[in-house]
Amino acid sequence: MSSQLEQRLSAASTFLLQSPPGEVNDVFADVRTIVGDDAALESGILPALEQYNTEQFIVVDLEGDKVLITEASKLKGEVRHVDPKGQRTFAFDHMKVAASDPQPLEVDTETESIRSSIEKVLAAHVSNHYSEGASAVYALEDSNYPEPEPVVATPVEETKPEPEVEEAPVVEETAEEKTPAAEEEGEAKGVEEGEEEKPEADADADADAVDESKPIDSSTEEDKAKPMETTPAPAPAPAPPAPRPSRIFGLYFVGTKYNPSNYWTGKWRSVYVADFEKGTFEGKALVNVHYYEQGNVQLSTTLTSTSPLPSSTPTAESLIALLKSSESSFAAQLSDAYSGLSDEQFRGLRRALPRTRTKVDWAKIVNYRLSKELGGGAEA
Amino acid sequence: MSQEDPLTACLDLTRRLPPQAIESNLELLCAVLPDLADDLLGSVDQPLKIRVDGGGRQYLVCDYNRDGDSYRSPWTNSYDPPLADGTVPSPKLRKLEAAMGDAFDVYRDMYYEGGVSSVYLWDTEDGFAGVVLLKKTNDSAGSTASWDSVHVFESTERGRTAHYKLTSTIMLYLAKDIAPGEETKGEGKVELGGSMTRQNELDAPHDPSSTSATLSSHISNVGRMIEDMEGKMRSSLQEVYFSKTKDITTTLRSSVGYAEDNKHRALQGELVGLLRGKAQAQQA
Repeated sequence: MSSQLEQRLSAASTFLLQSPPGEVNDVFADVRTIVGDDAALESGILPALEQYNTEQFIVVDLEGDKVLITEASKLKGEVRHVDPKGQRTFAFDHMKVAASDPQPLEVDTETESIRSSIEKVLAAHVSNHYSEGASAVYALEDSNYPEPEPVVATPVEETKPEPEVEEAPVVEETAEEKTPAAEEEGEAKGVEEGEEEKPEADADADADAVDESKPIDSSTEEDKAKPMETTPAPAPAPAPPAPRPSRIFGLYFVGTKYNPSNYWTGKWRSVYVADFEKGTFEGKALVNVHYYEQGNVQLSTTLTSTSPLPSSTPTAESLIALLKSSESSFAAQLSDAYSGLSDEQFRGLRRALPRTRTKVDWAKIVNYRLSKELGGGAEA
Repeated sequence: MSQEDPLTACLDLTRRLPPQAIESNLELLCAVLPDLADDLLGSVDQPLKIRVDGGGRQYLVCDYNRDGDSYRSPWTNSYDPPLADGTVPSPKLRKLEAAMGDAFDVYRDMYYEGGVSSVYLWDTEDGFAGVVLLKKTNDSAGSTASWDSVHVFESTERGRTAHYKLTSTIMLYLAKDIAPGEETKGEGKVELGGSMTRQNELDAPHDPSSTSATLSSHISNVGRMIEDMEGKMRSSLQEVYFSKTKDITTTLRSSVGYAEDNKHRALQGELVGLLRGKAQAQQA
């Protein structure tokens, strides 16, 4: 590869990462022309696309469910991503922005019970308060729980693999049921299958009513109960490592509104991390707006907050109340900042009218200056 | 898309990428597409830079007062670093340039109460053209603000009338740190920046009876035209920056919730319906 091409690819990545909300395809088209080598661009831009999609909490469709691409959705040491709600992993094409190949993911039951309850309350909140809101809750790596033993090295340890073995067949069934649904209608809108109700109902809840989250609560509780109660089945030979418990949860959500016909786009991204052991709840919101009618005006805001958790075992409701209070605070502070920028900074730059409250008398200025310039020889 | 020419793609990019990063992005574009560098620097506005001339006076630099690596001061008419044969306006036009520079310096003081202004003119085939530059920054602890005006105009004389064509760009950047308050816990920064471009054309009376009358009418015409344009653009900037982008943030996040919003709307509709029913009943 020529150094000129390398330089162009590196510039292309720099530009792509700055794409305003909803305009990454336009920026991509521009850098494609600038680079002028599609094959080199496709491979060269991939790391930047991956970073962009992850940073922007891109929302993608996975068998009719909205899933997020985030830093937390990346499976450690793998290219695949996790959809915690669907308890599955999936492949993601950063170029085509397409999710595929869902595979069951085994989770720690107790952790999942906490995670999914936070998820439900968050989803209801986000769909009610954020434009086209989408959310996800991830169980993050928690150092208070040791990393699972590498299974291949220690086949003696029979205690840990047991629970996953119970779950394995259950999840497999789900996977089997999903495939025909996806084949029948690409978007997997069918509600027929009992096991499929969960994502479908949740999607509905996202779309409108908050109340709908309630029936889902009970159904998933049942789903979770099942694998716990079933009797252990004989272990198949290569068992994956036992799912790792966690009491650190990452709450990710995003609100978007793209209105290209009126020349504006906007995105509100937030991430909150609840660490039960440390007792902290750390939040960060990023708000970006692009207004481009006869110009290019952009708002970019970053706000962070830290709050103590109400208890070491906070309820999902108390977490979301804390989150809501932080987000409301951010919104109020942003609004205040707007007033400050307008009333103080903007006014201090250029007056609407001179102090005399009248417009400039150009003839007077000119004659005064000209008489000076021409050594008093000015006519008129 | 790939049939687009690189210059169009570059210009599209500068209209999409964050205005706050225009300088570094432009530099990068010029580095990877050196053949387009002159076109890009000539057509994309970036915040003006201030220099100090031999007389200790501040002036603004842009592509219009550049010759090679040197810049011409509008006050001294000399280049820094010195150029033996740097481009300068004809003596007659230089007189107008100096007078217009002084007039806009008064204008600057009246509207900006600070800042720096510079006026550069150049001869054209059927008249002259010029650029009026104004810059003001206002930085304090935890906040920065800057305003850059670039008014490029052309003038052609037609007997007792002069025709003016103006393209104005204003770059406005504002940033403010956000600190936690008594009831608010957020900490961070808000940046609001960008540029806006508008055009206008004007036919105005022009007095060719003497040199000073010619100068006087050009300065008054250009002065009024730019004063009007800046006033209008200031209102538009205020509207877009503090009203439109703010409205969009409240579209992204509803503080009361869409369910409440909808209920409220439904209730309003119901009330309207009730009132209408009542009005009909009264009429009957």
